[in-house]
Amino acid sequence: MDKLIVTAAVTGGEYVSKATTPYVPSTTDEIVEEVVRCVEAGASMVHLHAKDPVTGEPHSGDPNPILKEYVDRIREEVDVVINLTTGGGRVGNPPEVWDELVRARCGLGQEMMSLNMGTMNRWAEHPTGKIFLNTVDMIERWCGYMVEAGVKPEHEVYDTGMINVCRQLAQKGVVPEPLHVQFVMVGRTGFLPTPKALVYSLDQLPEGWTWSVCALGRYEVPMAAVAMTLGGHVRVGFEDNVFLRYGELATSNAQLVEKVVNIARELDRPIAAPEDARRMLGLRRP
Amino acid sequence: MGKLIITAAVTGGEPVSREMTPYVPCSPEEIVDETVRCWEAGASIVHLHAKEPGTGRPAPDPNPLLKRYIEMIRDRCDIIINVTTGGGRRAAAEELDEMIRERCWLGQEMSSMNMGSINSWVRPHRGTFMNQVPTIERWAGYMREAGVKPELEIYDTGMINAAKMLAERGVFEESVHIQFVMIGSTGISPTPRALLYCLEEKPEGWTWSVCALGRHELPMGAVAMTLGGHVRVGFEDNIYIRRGELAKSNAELVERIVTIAEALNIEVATPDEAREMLGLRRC
Repeated sequence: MDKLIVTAAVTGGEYVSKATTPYVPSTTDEIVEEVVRCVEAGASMVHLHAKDPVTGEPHSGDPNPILKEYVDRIREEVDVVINLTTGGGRVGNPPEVWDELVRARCGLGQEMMSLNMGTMNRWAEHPTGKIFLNTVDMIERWCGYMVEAGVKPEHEVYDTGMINVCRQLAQKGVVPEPLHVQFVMVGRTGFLPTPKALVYSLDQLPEGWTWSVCALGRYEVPMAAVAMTLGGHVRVGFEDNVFLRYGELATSNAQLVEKVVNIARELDRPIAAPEDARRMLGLRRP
Repeated sequence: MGKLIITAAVTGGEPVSREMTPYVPCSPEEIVDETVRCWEAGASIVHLHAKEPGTGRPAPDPNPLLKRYIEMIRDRCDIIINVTTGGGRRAAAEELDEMIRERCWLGQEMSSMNMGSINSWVRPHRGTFMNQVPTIERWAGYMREAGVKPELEIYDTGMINAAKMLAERGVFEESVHIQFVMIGSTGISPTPRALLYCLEEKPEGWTWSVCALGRHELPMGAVAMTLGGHVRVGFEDNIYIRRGELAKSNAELVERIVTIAEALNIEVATPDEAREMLGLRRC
């Protein structure tokens, strides 16, 4: 079996702030230090959103300068694959502005960017409303920006139909194969964080593609164990889960990385270094 | 195994117009004649959209036309009437809400309701099909008030989860009926494997039906009835009777499903039997 790529989604994304957990890193310094800790614990990739330095809320302005600062500072400190969100900057801005933000964001020096593969309802409240809008036109255009910039998309799949979308993107030549897919097992309005849902999804995935799983809350670590057993990769971190065990907040993302690394060791699945991950995913060197 | 409820989606819905097939019924008279033909062939439910006479395009103001269809159908046969909550979507949100509320009172037994938002990749409807959770809850309320049973349309597996959560909140009456709309492309693949996965997620006791698009319509109909489900066919989902040959009437598609059911010793439900099975009021 291939080495295991562990992604740490350290910043808490759009949902997790200091109000959710005091341990979420928010300043540039905190985020860079947290990334270093996660790499030391075995993460080969880090997934980043831009945060307000005080509150840990999503940054309310243009996220790109903040993200650039994160990327530059991380490069000085540690070798890790950097994966930036295409989210952020949506609140209060029309979709044309999202387009410009994403196009500009492709040039910040990262190897990868996440890309949501469809539109779905949100069950939870969110500043951008009850719909998570990612139209086919946006997806095709943003893939184009990434391919042009030499950034590899991480295709985020929230339900089974989005696997069909990935396949069509490949067939149409919008993105080169093999694709890398992240199954974001959100439950609620998306697919369930269950082994059965994952096995069904894997049956739909073309051979040769790489894939990873992130599941929310208490499903994060169990579903990671299932994913790595099936040959997939895993993502953990405060963006998806803030607890180390029932009722106990993790004090660092690195604790969650350690958990999955320990499981992998017991299963004799070697952990990928950032260079291994770049080779496996066909990424450029930064 | 229970009896088979066949739904005929005769009008072509939003995508199918005269440009795609000359056989799609468009005028109220054509739509009613076609409904009667499908009823004679074995359909116990008809699913209706409002169409512009002549072109078969979606009608901009659906309610008066739907009312007319319903009244004319009631004069001719006892088929169950299931009215879309689609159509008229260009109206502003509040206007649309009022339109849907009004549409619950046209005399139908059922209304279809989409259980989530999803992209559409296929022209001319490329874009986003928006059905947000608060809208679903509101429209379900209108249906409860009017005594109309919702048919929950499921385009991907997350919508099963959403339906379960809404059911737990008491948004639907006791017995829930779902339609798996197997669109492929941006939604559930029209495959037996996908259907089996969906059925495992479906609560026991919910009744269910399948409609699959294009060439998958009839094979997936056969799979669904074998598994104890119900089936929807018609021009809304498929206009071909076989490769390269347009069906001349929706009734031809109903006949095929009936023939398959007979060969499997599955009895076809009459409208009254279907009312009983789905817990519908008598009209």
